[in-house]
Amino acid sequence: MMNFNAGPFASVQRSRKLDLARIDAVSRRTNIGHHLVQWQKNRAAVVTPKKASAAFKGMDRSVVHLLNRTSFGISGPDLNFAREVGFEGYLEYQLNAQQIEEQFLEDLLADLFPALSLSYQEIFARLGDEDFDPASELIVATIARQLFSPRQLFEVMTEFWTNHFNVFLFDGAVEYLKLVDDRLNIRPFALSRFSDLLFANARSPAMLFYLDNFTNTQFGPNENYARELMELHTLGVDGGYTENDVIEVARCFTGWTIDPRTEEVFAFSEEDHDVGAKTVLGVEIPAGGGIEDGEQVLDLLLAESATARFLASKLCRRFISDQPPESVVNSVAQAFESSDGDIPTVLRAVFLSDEFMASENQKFRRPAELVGSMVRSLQPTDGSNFFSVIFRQLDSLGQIPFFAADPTGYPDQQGDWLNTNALLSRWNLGFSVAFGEVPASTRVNADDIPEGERVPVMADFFALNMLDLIGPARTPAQIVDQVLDGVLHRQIGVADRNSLIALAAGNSAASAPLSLSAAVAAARAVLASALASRYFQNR
Amino acid sequence: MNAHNTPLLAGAICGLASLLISMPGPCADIAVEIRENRFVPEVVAAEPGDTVIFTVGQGRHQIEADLSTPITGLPSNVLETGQSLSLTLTDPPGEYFFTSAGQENLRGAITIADLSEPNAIDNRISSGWFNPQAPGQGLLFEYVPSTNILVAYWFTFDFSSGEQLWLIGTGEPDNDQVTMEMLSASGGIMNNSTPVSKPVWGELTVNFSDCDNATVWFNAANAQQSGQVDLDRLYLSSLCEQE
Repeated sequence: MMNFNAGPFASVQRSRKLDLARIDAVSRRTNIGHHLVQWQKNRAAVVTPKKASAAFKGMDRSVVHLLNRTSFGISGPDLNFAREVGFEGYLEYQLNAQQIEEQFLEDLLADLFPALSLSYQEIFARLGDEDFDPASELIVATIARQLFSPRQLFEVMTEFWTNHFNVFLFDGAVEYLKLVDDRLNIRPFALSRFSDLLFANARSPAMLFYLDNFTNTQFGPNENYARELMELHTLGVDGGYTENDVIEVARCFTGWTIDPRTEEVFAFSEEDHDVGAKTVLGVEIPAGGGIEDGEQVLDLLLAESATARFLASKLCRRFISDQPPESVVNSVAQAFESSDGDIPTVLRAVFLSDEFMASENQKFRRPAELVGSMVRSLQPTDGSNFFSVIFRQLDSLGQIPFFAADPTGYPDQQGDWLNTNALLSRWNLGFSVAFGEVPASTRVNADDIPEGERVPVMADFFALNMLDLIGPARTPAQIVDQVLDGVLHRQIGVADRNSLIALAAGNSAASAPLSLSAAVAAARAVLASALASRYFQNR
Repeated sequence: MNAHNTPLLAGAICGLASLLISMPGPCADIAVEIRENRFVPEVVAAEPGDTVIFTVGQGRHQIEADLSTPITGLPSNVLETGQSLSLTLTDPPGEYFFTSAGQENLRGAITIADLSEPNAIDNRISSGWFNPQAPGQGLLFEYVPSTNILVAYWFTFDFSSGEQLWLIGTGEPDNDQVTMEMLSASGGIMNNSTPVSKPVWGELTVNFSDCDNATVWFNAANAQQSGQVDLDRLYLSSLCEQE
């Protein structure tokens, strides 16, 4: 077994905490927000900015539903494009992510975040360098991709698999391993085959460190990885394995470890491997094997129907509802088995199902999707400071990328995210973004405001172009319809719409035009209510 | 509008502008701060002859008007932090939009109030009205002097089904504008005493800017649709020129 406290990792402190100031420093140094807003604006000008007709809007609820589930929030250009190509056309477009042009974004990120392209050895060579912060660069780049990449389904699936094969970024050396792990073991396979992900993550140095398999030897077994491999990565907790299977699988993975001196960092230590015969899920693995023992275990797990069912259940929970109908879980599991875990095939089974079509508005937006939707729908006027809001909101609501400490990753059900404190924070965020000129409180980094100047307000960080949002709308009814179209992209109940119109109108009539300044003020009130409403909190 | 470099000069011109365009009240100076990511306030409500003073609080900005709403005196020079630009408003009443060059998301607006007497609603507007962009449908307006009521009949079509839709409403004028609840009659049989139901369809506001032009704004509550229709008079009325 390698001594992990020696060599390049000697200076690594275990459990270094997330520090928002570090993330702020990275975003401020790179001015990432400004670059991305400018890029988004230029892209929006190219990608069909025309508005859909009222008659068309009524017919495309399914397209809006698809975008709500396959993105971190609906942007105007993406919605217009989806309306043009239709439901299946847009699904295929997103499933063929490599065909979607995003080179500018990746070039920009590579330019701003040099650590993204470093090898393990290049990273190790800079350990101890105060200015070197690959973890924060990875967090900022990941949020940037989630908010701005046109490959939205790819990013959604990247987050899904990151969560599925979760490692905690600030668990010691993971801080310096995860960046390459993300680049080599998650992103290339997000829309590939599940087997690719499983094999890659079994050899992932970050995973080997996080689940302690790098200490798993015939002389001192460690069953953490073996247990999570079956419980969380493949079979599921009810997947039919026994405690003895855990022990036997752990034996198969003895010697799978880390050697920081090698290019891959993953290493197989023959001297630490248990060469005795093992029995896993009733299948005998003969004595005398080496690294192939673990590989055979992975093949066995992939062939189990329980794996297909576990993955199908998790994907349906992700994309359909917290308790997806058995019928769709069965059909998705069948697609998984018949396609050997081909992820696009499995996703088609999810999104083209009747159960998906009937699930509109049934999923609660997790913080990443809530904040993402605000940014993608509303598009702040300039990005120099808006990342500060993003980090703090994700932090306060509990979903910074790679920051789930447990191997289960972030939960995916409403009950885990919805409580009175969280809801109040969500409402406050919506209201402060909509009204803008309210004290920014703890939601932003007040250090960005020069000393002696006024108290910062939310609009200093996240300002909205309200004049474009309302367009020609001047009556309360028009303003409500325009704002709802801009942030919800669909109609709401008649009674709820009437309530919003009454809010916008005050003492005026629903159809009487307001002055422009009154129209903007009314639009801000409507926007705040819309962002706080269940229509926006759900997706 | 006239552009000036100092509020003092702007103030001097204000009186001249006031004379030239027959303004009733004193001119006002209205401050707009240009911050890094927005104009504060984003909308300036002004009257003819008022002076808008832009001051750069953060960054450097060049203010330019939207092409569709040119503003006399813009574009400005590039203004550094702390520098100001004064614009005395001499353009006609209306809405004017501007941005910071290169940052088109930073948008602001000036509204110049129309201080002229509003057009009165009276017998002159009793006529057929229609939107030339949507022929085959339109409205009949009838003013009833004895009760000071405007009656509107809207012959149009349903949003989704395309079925004929006949709406009727009445309202009391407020200067050049009327808001009325619109009813949609249904269930009747031609020349038969069968009761007709008249559920509320929504609301309509009409503004007559002059004898030949009007604008309708509507809210179809149950259909969750709203919109605006610009109307022309369909035929001349002999009364039109008399008052």
